Amino acid sequence: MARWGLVIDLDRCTGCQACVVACKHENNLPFSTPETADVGRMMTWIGLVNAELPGRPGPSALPLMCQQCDRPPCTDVCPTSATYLNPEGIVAQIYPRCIGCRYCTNACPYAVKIFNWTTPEWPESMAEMHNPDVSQRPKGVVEKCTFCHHRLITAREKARAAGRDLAPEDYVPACVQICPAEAMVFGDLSDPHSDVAALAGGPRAFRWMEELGTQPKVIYLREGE
Amino acid sequence: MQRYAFPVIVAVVVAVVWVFALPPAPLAQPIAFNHAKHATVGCVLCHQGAAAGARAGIPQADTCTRCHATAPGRGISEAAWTDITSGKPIAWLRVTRLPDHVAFSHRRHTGAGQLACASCHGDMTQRTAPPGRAPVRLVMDTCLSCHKREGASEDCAGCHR
Repeated sequence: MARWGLVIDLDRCTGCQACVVACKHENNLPFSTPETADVGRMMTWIGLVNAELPGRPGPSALPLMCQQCDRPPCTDVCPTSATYLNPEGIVAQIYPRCIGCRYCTNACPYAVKIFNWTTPEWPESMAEMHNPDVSQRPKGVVEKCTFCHHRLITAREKARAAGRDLAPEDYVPACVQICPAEAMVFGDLSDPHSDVAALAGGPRAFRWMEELGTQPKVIYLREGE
Repeated sequence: MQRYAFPVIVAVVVAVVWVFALPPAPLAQPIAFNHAKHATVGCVLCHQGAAAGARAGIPQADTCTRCHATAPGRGISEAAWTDITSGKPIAWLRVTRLPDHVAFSHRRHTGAGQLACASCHGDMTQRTAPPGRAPVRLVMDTCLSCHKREGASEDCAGCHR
């Protein structure tokens, strides 16, 4: 069974936020306005945060999305099992099961679970531009990054229809695909020959807030000497 | 008078619930399509996505004209046939719906799962009139009982998006 993981090289990341745009477009996230930003209700599953990293004079921009923890604090507190760790290590969120209690948003130390305060709206001209593989979440549920799990489902189905196994290049999340600096590498951490497994075991690798014991599967690479 | 109040209220409530619990009236499809007559060609000839795509698809006139050069004798008037063959879309009414949060793919079920169409849609080969409502009631239990029986994935995120 695969264990999907993501490596982000902070040495390569330019902070361009192409990943933020790609994620919003891929996952049918509504636009955020200055007004929604003012009240802290921006709808983004991935965003840049200022991080104080050892050996750096100032804060670094760190792309932060759901860390897909192996010991996720959010799933323990969910009263309806709407969020859980799936067998492939993805922290899933089942929207029709979510009652919007926001226990998980409070339990998440990374603050990457987003509550949907309003019914999502898009300009009329974008009515045909939604991703049909992703639902449009209603008001009142908690949303999150799923490593573009819908892409895995589609990729696996295509591979099966073609009578072959899933290849590493078949499944990458939208943020990884778009990254112009190639700062993101995605793959199966349980495969010792994968790029992610090699990078995750390297000397520059660290996890964000790893002292909490959440065991994230998003691994950052420290900026090199 | 008061002693009748409770039974009357109960009767009214039961009547209202009864009316709302009844299935909705069947939809009237635009063409009196006879599935039984077409059964020999197989489902996929007209519902082309059923084997190769996520959505099975409902055929339009270009599918009909691959076999029918002229208006069929029954089921559709000459005028309606001229309309649809000149580009007017056939306004089929959808009878089977899945909620937006369910990710269903026909290909996954008919191909990898080797399911017959009838397992979810009922035996359409016996129907002489187009369906006015879903032939089989599909709920999550329908899916899960089959997934359990066949050893398919029971991971919620595998089907819910």
